[in-house]
Amino acid sequence: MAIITISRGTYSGARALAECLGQKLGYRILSREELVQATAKRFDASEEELELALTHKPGFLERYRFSRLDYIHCVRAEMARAVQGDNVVYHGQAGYRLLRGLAHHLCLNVIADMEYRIKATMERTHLARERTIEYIKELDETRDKWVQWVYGVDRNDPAFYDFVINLEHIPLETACNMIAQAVERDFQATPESQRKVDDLVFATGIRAQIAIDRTIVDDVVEVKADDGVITLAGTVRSLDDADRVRTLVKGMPGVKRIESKMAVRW
Amino acid sequence: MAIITISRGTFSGGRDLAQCLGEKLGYRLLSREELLQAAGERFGASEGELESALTHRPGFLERHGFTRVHYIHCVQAEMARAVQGDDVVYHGQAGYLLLRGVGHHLRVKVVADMEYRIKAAVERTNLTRDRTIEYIKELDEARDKWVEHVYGVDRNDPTCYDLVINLEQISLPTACAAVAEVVQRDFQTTPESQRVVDDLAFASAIRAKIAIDRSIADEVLEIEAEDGVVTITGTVRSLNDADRVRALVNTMPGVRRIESRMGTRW
Repeated sequence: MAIITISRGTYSGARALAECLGQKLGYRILSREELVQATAKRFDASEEELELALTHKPGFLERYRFSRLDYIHCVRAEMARAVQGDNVVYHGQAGYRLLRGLAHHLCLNVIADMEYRIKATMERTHLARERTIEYIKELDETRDKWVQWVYGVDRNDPAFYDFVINLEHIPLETACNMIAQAVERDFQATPESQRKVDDLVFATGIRAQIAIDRTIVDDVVEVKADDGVITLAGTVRSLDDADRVRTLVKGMPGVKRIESKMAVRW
Repeated sequence: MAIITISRGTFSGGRDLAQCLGEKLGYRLLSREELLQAAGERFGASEGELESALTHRPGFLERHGFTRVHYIHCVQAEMARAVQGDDVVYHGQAGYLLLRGVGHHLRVKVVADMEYRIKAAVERTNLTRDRTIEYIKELDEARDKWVEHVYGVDRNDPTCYDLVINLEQISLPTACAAVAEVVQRDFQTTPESQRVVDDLAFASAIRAKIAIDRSIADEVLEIEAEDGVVTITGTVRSLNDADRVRALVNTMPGVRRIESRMGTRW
């Protein structure tokens, strides 16, 4: 009973590792693409908009209905809900940051040397070598910037992961065995860690509702949940907005009490 | 039958992992400190000199006409000899760099979040928290620069390693079991990979001899060995130096033939 997230560089074998772990442990597999799809359905957003929010930093002009951050709140809410049932292997971008600190979350990054990635990409895309290198570098850079912007961290810092596996040198089967064993030894859900996930699902669900509420101009509201007690922090643009946030939260089923610590930004 | 090198950040648990692996696999342990001691004895250098060659970047002033690079050649030679007998767990700096290209060499790095390292360091050193942070940062920076300068690589790039483990998140027994599993499945010595180590031990011993020979003003010679055939490339300061190098290599037992491709730098 655990949640595994695998962050992947472009073409470095994360999908294959996820599939192997899914089979070995009997876990459900969730890809980034499926997560985006489910998010779009739940919050009535287009996949294209979500995709953009997940790949690019915000520009000055936001062409869409919601700001990039609003979309990201929706994706986070769906991610939390998707892993609530436990026994999931997620592979794709950024999943690990949301779940960091959960005792039954094992966080992997798979890597490969540049040369290996170039070859793998060329095989799939049939691009010329130079164009492929450009393509990989662009993707890497975009992702670096995105993670830096959303979470304020350097995604290449190995200390953010529990394991970083070089799949060029460690065969897939070995990596899969090793991780399956580590999960079974150290990453089993406890009632306490499960409660944390439940709280996270509740908090991110509320946060997403605030994000998609067109009457609230918010950027920086933080929502925490602890067994039905909701803490609201951060800033809003007006006292009216603060009221609207509180009213919205009050209306959500399961809310026992609200601790409101929002400030108004003038 | 394998060689494991564990690169450790300051206070991130690498020593404990090495000890666990040594016991589990019946491998010999070799610490950075022991390596320097052995290199010092073998080549008549003081540990202090070796220590400083391994921690600082070369400056303009080099004592005794020995450059830092010369000391590094001595350490390299001793490292290659130490692992020639196989079944070794080395823990400490630069192990992954000293054995490049060896097929039965598993490169592990252990990491931990800054907070974890600070706590561990405060426990051991009794320094204040602020001073400890400074100390860790200074050490990190010095090592970053050293590796960049000597080997031209970024030691924080995870692709330098086969496996990176966060010992704050992964318990020691689990990490130990994981590494043992990988070693036993995929990093077993083959006759071919053993030959690479033998050649490396031979070539690096010759290189160190040249380095400590005070009559040769060398800096940029490269020695490769393949089954007794020694190839010398790079540049020397004079034709006389080139002669001295060839003469020295000729006297080494086991040299069957010399391919000399040295250039002279005017």
